[in-house]
This record gives sequence, C-alpha cells and structure tokens, in this order.
Amino acid sequence: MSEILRCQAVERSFTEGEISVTVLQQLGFSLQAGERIAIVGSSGSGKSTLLQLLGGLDSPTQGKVSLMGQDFQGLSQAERGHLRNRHLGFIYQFHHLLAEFTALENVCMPLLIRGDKPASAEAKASALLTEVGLGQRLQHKPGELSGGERQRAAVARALVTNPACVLADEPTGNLDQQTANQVYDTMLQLNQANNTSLVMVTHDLKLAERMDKIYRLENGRLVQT
Amino acid sequence: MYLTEAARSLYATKQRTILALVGIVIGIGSVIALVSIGNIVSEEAAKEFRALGTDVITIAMRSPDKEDMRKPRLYRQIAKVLSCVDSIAPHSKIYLDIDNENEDELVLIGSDQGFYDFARFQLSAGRFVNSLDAERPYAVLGAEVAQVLNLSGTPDQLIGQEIEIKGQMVTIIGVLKPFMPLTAVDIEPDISLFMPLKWLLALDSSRQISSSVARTQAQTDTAVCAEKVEQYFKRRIPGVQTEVTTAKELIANMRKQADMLSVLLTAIGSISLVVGGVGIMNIMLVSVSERKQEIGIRRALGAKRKDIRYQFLTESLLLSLLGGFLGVALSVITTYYVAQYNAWEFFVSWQAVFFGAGISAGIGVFFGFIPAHQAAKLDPIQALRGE
Ligand SMILES: Nc1ncnc2c1ncn2[C@@H]1O[C@H](COP(=O)(O)OP(=O)(O)O)[C@@H](O)[C@H]1O
Ligand SMILES: [Mg+2]
Repeated sequence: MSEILRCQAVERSFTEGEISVTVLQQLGFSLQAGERIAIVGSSGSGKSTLLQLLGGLDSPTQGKVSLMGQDFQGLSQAERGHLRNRHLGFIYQFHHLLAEFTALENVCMPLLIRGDKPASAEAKASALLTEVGLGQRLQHKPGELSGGERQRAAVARALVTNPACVLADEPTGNLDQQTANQVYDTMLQLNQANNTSLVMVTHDLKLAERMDKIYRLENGRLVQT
Repeated sequence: MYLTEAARSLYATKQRTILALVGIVIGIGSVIALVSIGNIVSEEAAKEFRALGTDVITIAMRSPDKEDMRKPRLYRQIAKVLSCVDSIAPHSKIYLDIDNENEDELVLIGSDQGFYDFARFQLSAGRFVNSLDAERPYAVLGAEVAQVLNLSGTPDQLIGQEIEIKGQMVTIIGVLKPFMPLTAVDIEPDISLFMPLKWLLALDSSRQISSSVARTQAQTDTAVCAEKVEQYFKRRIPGVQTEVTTAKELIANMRKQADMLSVLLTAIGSISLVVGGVGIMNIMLVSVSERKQEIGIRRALGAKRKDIRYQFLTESLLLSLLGGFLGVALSVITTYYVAQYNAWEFFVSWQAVFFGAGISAGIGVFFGFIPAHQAAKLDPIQALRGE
C-alpha cells in the first residue's frame, strides 16, 4: 500500500496581535491509498484547519505535510496548485458551486484548469454527473438544484479528475438525514469504484462509523477511536 | 477559455457592466466623433477651394482716410499692370436687418462683373451688375433672397420689380442660382444682394473697399504673384496696411486650426477616458471582492495565481474593448447625423477608429491590472471562509 498523505509533528497557530492560539500541535498521521477515514471533533477544534493543511491551501507553523511523497513546504504556489489539481478533490459543507455556471460546467472546471480539451472534459463530466443521478440536470445552474443535488454535483466535481484522495469537510452537514445518506452512498460507491482515499470531517457519528477508521481531533491532536 | 468565461461573467452582471461602459463609451465616442467632424469640416473647406480653384488670392486692406481706397478703377487696373493677375473683384459689404418674424439677415454686397467671373456664378434670370452700371440702383438677388423679402413669382417675373433698400427704391435686374458659401471672403451668395460697388460707396462717404479677391493667370506662381500684388498696393496707396493671402495659405491655416482643435479635443477626450478607465477599475474591484468565493474555489481546484490574474485581465480588457466598440459606433452615428444636418460629405476617419480601439484596449489592461492583481493574491482560505 502506498502512502497518499502524511503529517509529521504538525503545528498550526494563529497569531492575532499579542494573542497566539495554537489550534493543532504535534499532530502526526498518515493515509494509505484507498483508505477512508472520518475525523470528528467539537466545533472549533481545528478540523477545517487540518483539511486546509492537507490540501496545501494553508501552511503549518511547524512540521511537515506531504502529498504523494512531496512536501508542500518545498513547493511554489503554482506547483501546489498543480499537485492539488492532480491528486486531490474537495467537497465542502456548502457546495461551493459557481452560481453562474451550469452543473456540467462546474464539474468540467477542474479538468479545464488542468488543461483538458473542452470536449473531453464535457464527456467525462456528463458521464460522472449521470452516475450520481444528475443526468437530466446537466444544464441546470446550482440555484435550480435541490440541496442534495448540489452536493452530489460537488461530489462529482471532486471526483472527476480521478484524484488519489478526496478531502470532505462536513459534506452532508447541511442536509436532512435521508438526503445526507443518499449523497453519502453515492460518494462511497464512487470512492470504492476508483479506490480513492477519503478524509471526511463530520459531526454525524453514524456516518463516521461506516469508514475504515475514526479519528477524534482533541487538544490539537488526532486520536484514533 | 478565459475569453468565454470573461464574457459570461460580464453577461451575468449585465446592469453593472452597462454602467461601467457608460464612461468609456462616452469618452471614446466623443473623441472620435469630434476628431471625425473636425476632419470633415476641414475637408469641406478644402473642397470649396478645389471648386473655386487654388489660384485665388484674397486681399484685405486698411488705410487711414484715403480717397484712393474708394476707387474701383485702381483695383481693376492691377490686372493690366501685373501680368500674373488674371482678374480681380473688389467688393464691399453691409448687413441688412430684415423686419420679418425670423429676423433674417441679408448681406448687401457692392461688386461688379469681376465678382461674378471670380465666383463663377450662374444666373437663373436677368444679368449681373457691372462697372457700367455705375451708381444705378440695380440689384441681383441671391437664390433665397426673394423668399426672405417675401417676393413672389418666378425668377423671370422678379426682374423689373422694385424693392426698398436703405430708403431707396432699387430695381431687380437678375437672380442667381443657388451657390455654395464662400468662406474665404465670408460671403453666402444665397442670402446676398449684389449691387454696383459705386452705389454702395455713394451711400457713405467714409466707406472703403477693404476686401478683394483675385485670380492669378495660369502657369504663374500664386505666392510670387501675391507678393507682387502687395507691392502694387503699397506703391499706389502709401501707408496702406495690406494682408494678401493665397488659397494655399488659407487651406494650410484651416488645416492647422483643425489640427489644433483635434489636439485639444483629444486632450479633453483623454481625460474622459481616464475617468472611464477608473470606472472600469472600480467595477472590477467590486467584482473581485464579490467573487472572492469563486476565486477561492478556483484556487482550491488547482487554478494558479496567473490563471486568476488572466481571468480578470481578460474581463476588463473585454469590457473596455466592448466600450471602445460601442464608442466607435456611437461616434460614427453622431458624425453621420452632424454631417447630414450640415449637408457635409460624410466619411469615417480610420485613424480615429484605430486610435479609439487601441486606447480602449490600453485602458482595459492598465486599469484592469490592479483589480486582477488583487484577485490573484487573495488567500484561497480567506476567500472560502466567511459564510
Ligand atoms: N485564519 C484564521 N485566523 C485566526 N483564527 C483562525 C483562523 N482559521 C481558524 N482559526 C481558529 O482556529 C480554530 C479552529 O477553526 P476551524 O478549523 O474552522 O474549526 P472546525 O472546522 O473544527 O470547526 C477556531 O478557533 C478558529 O477561530
Ligand atoms: Mg469547520
């Protein structure tokens, strides 16, 4: 099994004026290919902060975060962007789809950013949207979709590049239980089919239990439960 | 990819896009329209000279109380004395206020056959005045004069009718066909009455013949001839102040004036363009701050700073080019109607159009740079926060 993500002695603190708050400290963890984990923890414990570090969007105050064996610290902004685009997919609590673009265009976006031809991007995107059950909704804008449909489009966007790992920040936090379950099923099915790793932040312990491992973020550290 | 995305963002915020365009459309539109109209005006002036001929000399003179300045013969002799002069038309004019509802103004011009030959008028009836008419109260009407004076009848029927001018009864002996304005001597033939020069001089003993036009012989140098004409008058009328101008000089002067006007207008237009550019910058800054989330998502999906910068630069470039295009269209339409209204020949100055397009592109890049840079340096986490 190869290693996708690794954190070593990661510390992240925010300094505002005189006051310094340490959100994460001495955090170490590693994620293998195909491995699916849940991260739970109280609000404000630093879950989102951790996901941003894992995605190379933020840098640790100390320690090392590496993706596919490459340390983010040693990379330029452009190289980080490239690495992110190649190997990661993101899903947020709020779908974060672009309102001006159709579902199809939203899902195409990471492929176009990567430099794919529009025609091949559209083919991949529409195939995946059909798989998540939005085959009839390709030309609809986010405003015309239900909450569950939007989140499924966001799942499709995260997976369309065939990433090694998907980082999901409370992807179903905004949905009712039933819809959340449906989205969740879709996501797990796709992950399984592609052997994609998954790091999912959630409040929902029932959902968390369906993952390979559950970590609790406490006092800035990850503890396996 | 940048281009289509830029187009749709602009389309998505139609109202704002239109507002941002107003400044630049008006800026570019007015500069190009004014420059084009200036070009058309100077072309019209040049056309007059082409019709009159470039062998024309205008002579303006002033002399303190000289009886010589009242002798048409002294002028007419010049054509005999100087071989380079073909013909000369001394004339004098006074303005007549007409007592009708439009408060029209007619111009009374004292002249003779020389003026008719010079301008190459055509008559619709009767004959023109000549030096043999001496002080006789005869008048030749410009094409629109009968209407202004409320006279009815065909040109032929007008001949022989009497009108009252300056308290005297004057007989109509001819009617002219419509003729273009002669800006070189500031005369509009259509609203002028031509009467014998001597009649006009007899009205007022202090009146002088202050203005003449002459035509030079073919194959002579007009500038050299103008010099000779000036010397002639200086010799014959000691102490006279003369100003002799050739058609070429007049055209050059007009061109110079038109050019100066263009420079001035361009300066004014440039200011409005800067204002338009600042408008674009403002709109783009608003757009960047409103689309923080979009920028954050794009960055999270792997877009580079460069991509974001190009995206916003493309947007402002497209915006300003659109403004430039509309401005050019506006200017062409305006120019067309101004030309129509004045019965000028309409043409588009391509330099002005290219200038407008270039300037608007420049504005887009220049004023779009700061917003694009701001967008590019946004921290994606900050941008994704704040729900
Ligand atoms: N950019 C920042 N500046 C200052 N404090 C921050 C910043 N980002 C996060 N924090 C703080 O870090 C803590 C963890 O936040 P977050 O990771 O969003 O928590 P969670 O996602 O677990 O609810 C919070 O106390 C938050 O106020
Ligand atoms: Mg959070």
